[in-house]
Amino acid sequence: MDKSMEKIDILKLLIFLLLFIIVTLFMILVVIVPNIKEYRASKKIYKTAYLHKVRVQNMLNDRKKELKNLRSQNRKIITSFSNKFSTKNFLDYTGTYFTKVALKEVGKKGHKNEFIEYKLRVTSSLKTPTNFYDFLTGLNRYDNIIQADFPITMEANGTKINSDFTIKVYDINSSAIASLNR
Amino acid sequence: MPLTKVIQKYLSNLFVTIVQNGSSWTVYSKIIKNKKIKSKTTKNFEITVPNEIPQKMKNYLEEIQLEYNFTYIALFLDSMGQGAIYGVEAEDFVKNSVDLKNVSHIAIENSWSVYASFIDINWVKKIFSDVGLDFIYSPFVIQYMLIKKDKPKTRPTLYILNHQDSIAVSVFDGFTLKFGAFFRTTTDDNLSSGVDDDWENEEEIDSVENLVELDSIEDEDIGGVEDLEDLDKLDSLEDKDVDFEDVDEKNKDLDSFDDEDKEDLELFGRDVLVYKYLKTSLQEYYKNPIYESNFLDTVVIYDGFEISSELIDMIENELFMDLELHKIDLVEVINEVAIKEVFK
Amino acid sequence: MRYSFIKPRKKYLFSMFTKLWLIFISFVVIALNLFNFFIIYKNSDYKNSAKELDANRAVLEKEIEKVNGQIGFILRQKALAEEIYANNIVLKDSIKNLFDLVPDQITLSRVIMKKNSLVIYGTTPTKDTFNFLLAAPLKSIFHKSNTVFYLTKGGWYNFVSTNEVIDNEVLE
Repeated sequence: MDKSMEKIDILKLLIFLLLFIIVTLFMILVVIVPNIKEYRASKKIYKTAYLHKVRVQNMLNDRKKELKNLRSQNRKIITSFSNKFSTKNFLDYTGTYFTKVALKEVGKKGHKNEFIEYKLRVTSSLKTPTNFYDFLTGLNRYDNIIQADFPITMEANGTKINSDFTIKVYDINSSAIASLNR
Repeated sequence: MPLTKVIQKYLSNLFVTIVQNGSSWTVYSKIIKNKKIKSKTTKNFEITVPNEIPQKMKNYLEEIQLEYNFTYIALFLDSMGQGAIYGVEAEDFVKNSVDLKNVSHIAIENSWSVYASFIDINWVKKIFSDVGLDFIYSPFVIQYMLIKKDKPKTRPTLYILNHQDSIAVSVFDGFTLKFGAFFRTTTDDNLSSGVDDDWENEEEIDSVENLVELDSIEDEDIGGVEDLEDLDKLDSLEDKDVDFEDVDEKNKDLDSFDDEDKEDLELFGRDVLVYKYLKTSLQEYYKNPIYESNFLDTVVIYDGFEISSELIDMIENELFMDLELHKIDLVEVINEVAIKEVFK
Repeated sequence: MRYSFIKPRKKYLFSMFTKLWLIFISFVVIALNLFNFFIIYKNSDYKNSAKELDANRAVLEKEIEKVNGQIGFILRQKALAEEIYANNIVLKDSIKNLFDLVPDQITLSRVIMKKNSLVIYGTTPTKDTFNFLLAAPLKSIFHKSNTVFYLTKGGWYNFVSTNEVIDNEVLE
């Protein structure tokens, strides 16, 4: 006959109570508390990592936007740099200002790491210096990045002027900046 | 779960034997752990209220059961409506005029049976309902266990288990019971049946008259024969109020002496009763054809109370039987039976 | 029920009281353990997520570098182009200024413009005309000026004016 529920043995009750308290305390102090500490720490680590990442993400977004803006703002220049220099096109262009244009490649060298500079000599015939001015003005709107440079020689030849000047065509050094381009 | 049993052996087990002796209960407790006896305690409790266990005994039993998880309480059944017969089949019960419908029975060694009235068993369970009971032992089972301890006898032998309030008389051939009869030696107002319930242990119709005739020493009044014949027709051992007025008076005579003399006379009277019952049993055994007719020349008495030398003389001289007397500690024997029943 | 009229009562190793307590304590232990496992899981989750975030961040930082590079390149292109454009304009203005300087009376036959020097060949009616009208302004522009006159059959003078700039004030 199990009368254990009717007549409660105080000693047994106290022992079980003690056992319960010890077990619970043990579990909490030895098992749970250290893990809670670790929880707080790891949560903090996570939070900082998250914030860090978000910051970096935002920075990236800003940068990308900036890149996009730059690209759209400087479209002309970018395309001009990427356009391959075509002798024919250039002759056509100069032909609108000068006559009897001749082109001769004189040199090629690297310019500031990322660019290649092609030096060419232009000999042509023009009516008035105004043609040359217009030519120079129009040069900034041309499909390539070209700088006109000294030495410039002009010689009167009857009604015409024979001119002889240098142009420097700038192209992108593709091997040097391969990693930058998409 | 068998696993519990395995572990149980190594823990403390409390075996309690309860035997009613006269107007008090004897409670014998033994604590066993791993086959070693840790302690033994005997306590006696006076019966204060009839048909109830004394409150002090209840408290004591509750207390010790709270202390020990594994407690077995064994009770010695000394109620009238019980006995033992040879055989285990239903027809054997019929042969011995025992109504199977009203008894609880156990087959021993698949050759003989012990039985007791349902009412008595339930009665006892009810009395101990607050306390709890694990075993209820018949005196014949106890007797059998005692017999098994010694070498078997070559010839059928008569055995008597002597208890303060009762005797169990049986004939065993080896370890097989051939005849059993239970008699109460204490008149008990608390008993729910009639006073002369010992007569109800008569199992054979025909022998009744014979027994009465032979009871020439004390029972001069044989007027109760007709009543006894009525008894023959009883096919149940229910506790009916059988009224044997004459025999009643006989016992009343014994009781009418004042206390001191009463004790001496009761003792003397008890021996007389014992002798009477013994003779009755013998006659029943010899005369009733359902029992094998072997000549019994030995009586073995397992005495858990007192046997006077006069009685011994009487048995030896008047019945011409050899007598073997073994003093036993009844509670100890029962306790051992209970222990064996749990751990073997 | 071998020898007894009744079967013994069932014996339990643990009383109901003990069993309840043991179950209760077990529940508590299990609950605490579950909570603990949850915490441990979250810990490793946080740690892994943090690692992931850091890895992501590193990737993003690399990308920022790349984008920065691209931005830089565009800026350099822009700078170069604008420099060139400016140079072209300056060149045009210089030449224009020069030619504007020349008065009507003087006729140029040949102009050789170099980075730091200017040689003009032409004809002028009188020396003074040249000196006053052309030499003076030239002198103000250039550091060194030198003119040689040649008298022609027609009474005009051919001149060769050599002008130099010492320091790097010139285009480029």
